[in-house]
Amino acid sequence: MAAKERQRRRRESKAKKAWRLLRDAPANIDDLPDDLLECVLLRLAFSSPLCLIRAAFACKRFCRLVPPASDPPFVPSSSSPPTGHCFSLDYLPFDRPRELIDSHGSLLLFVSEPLTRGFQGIARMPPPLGSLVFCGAYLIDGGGGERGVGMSNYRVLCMFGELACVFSPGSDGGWRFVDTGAKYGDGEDVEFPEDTQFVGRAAGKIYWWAPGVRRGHGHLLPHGVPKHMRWEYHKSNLRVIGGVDGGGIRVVRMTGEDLEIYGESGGGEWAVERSVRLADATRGLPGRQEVFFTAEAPAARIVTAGGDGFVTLAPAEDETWLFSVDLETMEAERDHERNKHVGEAHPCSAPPLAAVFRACGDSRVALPRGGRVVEPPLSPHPTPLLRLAVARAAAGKAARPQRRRRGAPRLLALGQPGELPGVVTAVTARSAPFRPDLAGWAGGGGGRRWRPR
Amino acid sequence: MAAAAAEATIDGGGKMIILISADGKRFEVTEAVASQSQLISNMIEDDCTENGVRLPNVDGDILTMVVDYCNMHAGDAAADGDTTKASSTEELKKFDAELVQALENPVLFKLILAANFLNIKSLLDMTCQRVADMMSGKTPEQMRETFSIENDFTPEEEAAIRQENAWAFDD
Repeated sequence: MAAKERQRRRRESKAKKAWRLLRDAPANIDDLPDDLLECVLLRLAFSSPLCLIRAAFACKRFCRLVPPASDPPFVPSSSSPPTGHCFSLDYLPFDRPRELIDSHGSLLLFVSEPLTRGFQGIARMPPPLGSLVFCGAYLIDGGGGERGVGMSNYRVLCMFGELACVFSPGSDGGWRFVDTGAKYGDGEDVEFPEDTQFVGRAAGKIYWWAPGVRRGHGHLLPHGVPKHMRWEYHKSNLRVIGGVDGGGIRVVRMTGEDLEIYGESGGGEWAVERSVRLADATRGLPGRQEVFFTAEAPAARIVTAGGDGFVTLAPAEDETWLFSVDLETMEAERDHERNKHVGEAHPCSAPPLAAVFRACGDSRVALPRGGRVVEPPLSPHPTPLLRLAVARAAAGKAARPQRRRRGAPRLLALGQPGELPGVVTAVTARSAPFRPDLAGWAGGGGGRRWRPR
Repeated sequence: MAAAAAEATIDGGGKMIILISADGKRFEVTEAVASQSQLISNMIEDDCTENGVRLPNVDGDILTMVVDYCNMHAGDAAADGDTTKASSTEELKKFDAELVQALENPVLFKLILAANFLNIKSLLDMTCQRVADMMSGKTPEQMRETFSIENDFTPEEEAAIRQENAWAFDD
């Protein structure tokens, strides 16, 4: 009996000892090798980017392992996958009307009103430029010879009068002044008046219509417009498209009743390739009214052009009766999803995943004389603010106001990393509440989701 | 012993492998169970499991958990028939959840290291996710406390971080 009890006790104490050993063994998070800890942090990033940021401040090792700013962590646009072709941008760091102003590849560029939210983490214009006329911001390919855009490979071009500056991400990024190279035929610099209109993007160039700057008529930049095409243009009746995969550039214009497609016919001449009278093309479409396309009616407005080989238009009489014209066949149709979005549609190659970037907006820089001096970058090393911004956007913390700041427009780009995607979709901007629809322009919107490596 | 092994052979449809932990505990598992570990799977391929597989850096207690896990999940790949599979998936999920929930810190990290060493991807995924879940919702201080992390930032560095990123720290 006593022997049995001793044995039991011995067994028990042995188990306890093993348990104690196990408990006291120096196995902690410090014992995980870097690759395993990175594994953990990536999972944390996926479930809660805000917590990833907090983790980065637990100790230096964590801080080191949190993905660097040049490779910003991407966060899903929402915790639930997009339903159908719609996804919410609720997580964006502002709740006021915000404008989707450009897209390129899978990136989207937003401008938020300067006074809405003192949001930390969005690239801000350099302060001295804030007082100049802001003529638009555009997403362009990253520098350094890399083709295409991605979250770590893109630039934002901002036009201010005759000044242009470019923001690039990364450790040596920031705002820089650049020479736009926009000149008239006689070498005089082109100024961008306030009502300069972006009219398209083709073959790696961005085209503007600069109304009435000289000689009483406007200019299509960077090319001029032949005499026979001179007109009062704006983005509702002139678009430059094409130039994809070495294809030619086309100019789409609305002239009264006709939609015309111009192509370059050698020697810099533009010639009509195709044209169609909208009254004829739309005949028989459901909901069409005779009054839409009479000779007296104001010209139809171009809503969106390019993207998928269609131009979407709306008659002045009914801005919501959208129809599309196939640029190849010049046939009109009304059934496609694209005809449901009244706002300008921006081609987007994937459901966007958000990353917010922030340049250091507080650095002072002198305006260069002559406006074409390349200045040193304004932004110091943007880490870890970039990551913080990403986390904040994803955590939906933006709903709470932070410090209020006056200043220039702020920019937000979001997108999906990775190779050039095959699926072209579009995001359209609407006034608040801003819930852009992702139209499945090429047959599929959702589906692809980013996963941690 | 021989009879039991033979029975197991019929049952599990494979050879038995003996795993030996650091403290000399022996675990007899089927080849199908053991080969969830990529490490052991490779050893089986190389025919060097004859005299048992010695795992000198894995404690018996940890190996018990690993073997339990592998036994539970061995059916995964082989399971046929949709209805049985659905219920067993549910059961497995419950088992997994209970397994990781119950783990105390040192054990959890040992299990991660063991899963890493034995190269059992699903177990590694599950345990890493558990650590991530434990980090989730915590302030840096709480994380340091939970995981006994030494704060190696200087007070100045920390103050700067706090000031600059106040939003990330307020609740």
